[in-house]
Amino acid sequence: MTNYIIRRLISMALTVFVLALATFLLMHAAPGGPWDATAPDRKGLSPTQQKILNQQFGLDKPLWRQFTAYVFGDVDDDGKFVCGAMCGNLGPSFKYRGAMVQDRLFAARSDEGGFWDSRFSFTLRLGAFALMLGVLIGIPAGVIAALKQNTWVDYLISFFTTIGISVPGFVNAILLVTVFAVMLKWITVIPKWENFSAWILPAAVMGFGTMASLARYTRAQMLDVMRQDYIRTARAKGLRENVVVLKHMLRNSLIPVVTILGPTIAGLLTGSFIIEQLFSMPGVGNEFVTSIFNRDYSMIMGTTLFLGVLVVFANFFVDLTYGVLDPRIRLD
Amino acid sequence: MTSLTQPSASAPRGASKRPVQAKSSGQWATIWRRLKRNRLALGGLGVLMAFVFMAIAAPLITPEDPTHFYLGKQQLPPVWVPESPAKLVPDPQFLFGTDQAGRDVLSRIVYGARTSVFVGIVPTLIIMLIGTTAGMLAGLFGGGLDNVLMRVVDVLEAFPDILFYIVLNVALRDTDFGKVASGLLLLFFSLAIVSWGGIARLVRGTTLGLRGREFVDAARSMGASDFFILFKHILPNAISIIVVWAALAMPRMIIAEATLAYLSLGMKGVTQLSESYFVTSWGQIISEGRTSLNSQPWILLITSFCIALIVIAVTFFGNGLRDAVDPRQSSSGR
Repeated sequence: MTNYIIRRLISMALTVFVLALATFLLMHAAPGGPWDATAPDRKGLSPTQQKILNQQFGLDKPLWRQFTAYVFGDVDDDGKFVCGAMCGNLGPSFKYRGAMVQDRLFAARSDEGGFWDSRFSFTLRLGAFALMLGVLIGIPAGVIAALKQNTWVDYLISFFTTIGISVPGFVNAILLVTVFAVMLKWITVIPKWENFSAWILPAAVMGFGTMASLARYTRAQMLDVMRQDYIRTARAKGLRENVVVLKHMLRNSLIPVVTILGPTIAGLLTGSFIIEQLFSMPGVGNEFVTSIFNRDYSMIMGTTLFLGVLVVFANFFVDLTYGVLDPRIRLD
Repeated sequence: MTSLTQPSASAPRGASKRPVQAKSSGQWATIWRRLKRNRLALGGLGVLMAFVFMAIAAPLITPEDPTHFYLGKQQLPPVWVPESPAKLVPDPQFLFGTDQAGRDVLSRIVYGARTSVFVGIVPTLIIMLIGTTAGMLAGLFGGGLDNVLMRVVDVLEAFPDILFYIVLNVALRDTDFGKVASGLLLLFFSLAIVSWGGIARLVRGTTLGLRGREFVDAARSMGASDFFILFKHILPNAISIIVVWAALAMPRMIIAEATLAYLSLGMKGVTQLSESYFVTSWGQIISEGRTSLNSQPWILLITSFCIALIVIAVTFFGNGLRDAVDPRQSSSGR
């Protein structure tokens, strides 16, 4: 197990390193520096000013040096070592003067707020809420569909799961926002995030896909387990139906369901940008979209790297959980 | 999966004469017969065909020029809305109303179908080509090549595709490469270069499974070259899996394009109909319409509905195809 974890951590570090390298090279392949006249809000910077900015941001150094400085760190003008991305230092934002990328992501947006006022906390809360809805509605729906297989209940649930799985999240989001917020006026388009009710629609929209895939997968697993011999044995022992369903069927069905949580969590964390933007939620995704519009390369790079690390870790923890839940799976 | 290979593996009839052709026509005829019984899949195919027709015949069926600004007729509601929030009444000339700039929404949506259909097909074909080649080579030759290819696939699959799409498009959209065909080439390139991992892995697995089979050994003992074996023995047996995968990849391409267009990445819109074969895309219409969400919600509604419809249609068709190719692996849903 320890061996597995160590090997896994090394390969994760390598994967993230490759992601960093690819993103770095691509961002530097973009024509025109971040300061030239084609970039938004950058018109009228003289060549001298551009040169000063390049020096200030270290863009005058050779490319490999910039990369090692970004990932590992570099010695600054005073001879002090400044740690790079591996210590969580994602460098200065090109767009917001004086702001660091990690501050834009993790620091409170106002002076009085703590972590819960940071952009990451919004994304985290939205993702957690959506996942909760997905699990609490999706899994029972899958169980019910399996127990009532080939009845109208099953067909109704299948109808919704098919829509939830095939229609992209942002299309669902747009449809629901237009219907609920604009046409029915149930929800204000510019919500107050202190109120719990403001979170319901964004989380429901985002959790819909999760709900659907969990329901479908749970149903398939349940149908598989229901035909096993040990279920017949459990019934033959005279156990109550509740016990058979909850203890024998559900427990065994849910273990494989854990495996799809990895990609699900990754999808929730990286797929939130359109939903956040639609609901004007000040999260990481919204910041990501803004940085794309602003061509804030350091911001795009930092956010991509951060999301990449999150995804890799989410998959890692899901694999570990799977190993713990199902002793037959040996991680080595 | 091995059930597909059965007809060729045993090949009782016609094995001496044209074994591959005789088998492949029979295989596809069987698949089509099974597919015909699946109403959902046929319905999906029908809807898809309707969109393909829209895409090809766009100039013939659109009532207006999708790039023409009708001044003084901006923000008109569609004909079924009696009065828009801005107190405008519909004009029968514009069935779906007009957008903020006064362009006919119906015509723009029809032209958007062209982009979506094209984006569903072309990148998928490129991905099939890259993925199949990589997968077959990795599976047949193994060793260092296999190792390198599979490590690349590992990295590609470790992160959500959309992150790579975004980074590629942000970085390269202002290069000369990114300007070819109003950005479509870059879009196809980025979709293809990121998404070939899944099919490569699948084909590699199939190749590994087939490599040890008797008919491959027999061919080899008769002096067949690696490429002969790849094209005459492995590819025909893997092709149905590849086709099913492609059918299920198409909706993902369509969604990716719409998402990128929504982020103002991907294809650039044109201002003159004569400028390009592709005028706009659904993602772009949504992106443009987002600012007028409150005054003209129907633009977003209709366009989102179109995306949902084509994606569901292709998915149903793909699921039906999968079940027809391998009935044992029937879909878990209905």
